[in-house]
Amino acid sequence: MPFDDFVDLNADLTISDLEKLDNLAQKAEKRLENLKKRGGIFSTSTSNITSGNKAPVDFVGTLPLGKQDKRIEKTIQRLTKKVEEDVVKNLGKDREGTLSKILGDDVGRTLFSIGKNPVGFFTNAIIGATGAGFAVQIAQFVINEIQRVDTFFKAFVDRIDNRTNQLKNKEIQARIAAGLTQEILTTESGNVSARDAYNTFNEFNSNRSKLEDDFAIRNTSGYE
Amino acid sequence: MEVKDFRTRLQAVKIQFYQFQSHAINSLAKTLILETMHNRMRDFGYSDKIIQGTAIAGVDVISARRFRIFFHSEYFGYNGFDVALAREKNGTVDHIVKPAKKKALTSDGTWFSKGHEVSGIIPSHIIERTLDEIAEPFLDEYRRSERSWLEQNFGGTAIIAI
Repeated sequence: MPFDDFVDLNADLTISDLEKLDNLAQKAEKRLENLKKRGGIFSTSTSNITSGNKAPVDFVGTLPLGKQDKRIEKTIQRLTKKVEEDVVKNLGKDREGTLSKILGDDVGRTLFSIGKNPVGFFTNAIIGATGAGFAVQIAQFVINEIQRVDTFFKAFVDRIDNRTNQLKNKEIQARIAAGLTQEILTTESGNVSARDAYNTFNEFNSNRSKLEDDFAIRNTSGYE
Repeated sequence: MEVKDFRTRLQAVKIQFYQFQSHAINSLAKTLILETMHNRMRDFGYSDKIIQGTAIAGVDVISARRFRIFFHSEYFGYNGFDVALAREKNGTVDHIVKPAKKKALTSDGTWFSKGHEVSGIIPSHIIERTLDEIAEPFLDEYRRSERSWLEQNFGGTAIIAI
């Protein structure tokens, strides 16, 4: 009787996974086609950016990006002017002085406060600056005007969120390097075996200097 | 990469997937496992006949994700004794080796022996141990080649990446 033995192989990827991926891609393709019909950023192929001289189109899908930028810029300027005029009308003759009192010298902190509680910030600021009883109404008016310039408002709120995330990142980096927080890096599908996964606790026990190097606190915010 | 382009490439991957699996499993089983077994057998002093008689017997598809690779080792002596099995699993006790023809063991016309007592062989468990040891590296290597194949097909974009 000859000797027989075997070994088993467990594969991660199967044809059904590829089928699922294909279905998802098909849905994405249909969705993109619908978006193209509607117009907007998806209305033409992104390959135009690299392949030809044609400029990428804007969010509306009608004007080149540069012209659209100028249009947004003009809109912002017009609205800013309107806000200033309307606010200043209600705040008296010392226009510049009053606005600088509202926004203050510390612009970063000011923006942070606006992002957290816009109505509250302006109300307090206007009361502080003028002592006026109609501060809430003025604040609401200012907020409404700012929110009309939607992209601008969202952009700076996002920026503030981003900066707070950078602070959190630093804290997480420090905690990982000290072995207090566990991070496990695995595949997108999540079904990789534990042996292949990158586990910070394992690294902490086996190769601490590498872990400290991997998670050394770095300033990734773009600000010095 | 645009979705349309991605889907086109995905179709090619789907068509070639079984072919890739078959090729990858067979070639890796041969180069990683079988060659290691043969080298170890050679180091252990196996005869070439046993080494040549040790081969991949086949690959069974147990499920969509699971494959079973069979190895077979066979060599029978002239009297039907299973040498491959003895080498791998059973071993032998000390025994006498006699020539098939009487008085064959002569030197310069002088008959000197009816036969020799030789010591038994120890079971080496080379196949069993090799499979135990190489199962994980084999799986790693399969996954690596799968990733590399997908990257090639998707133009450098990895679906699965650690």
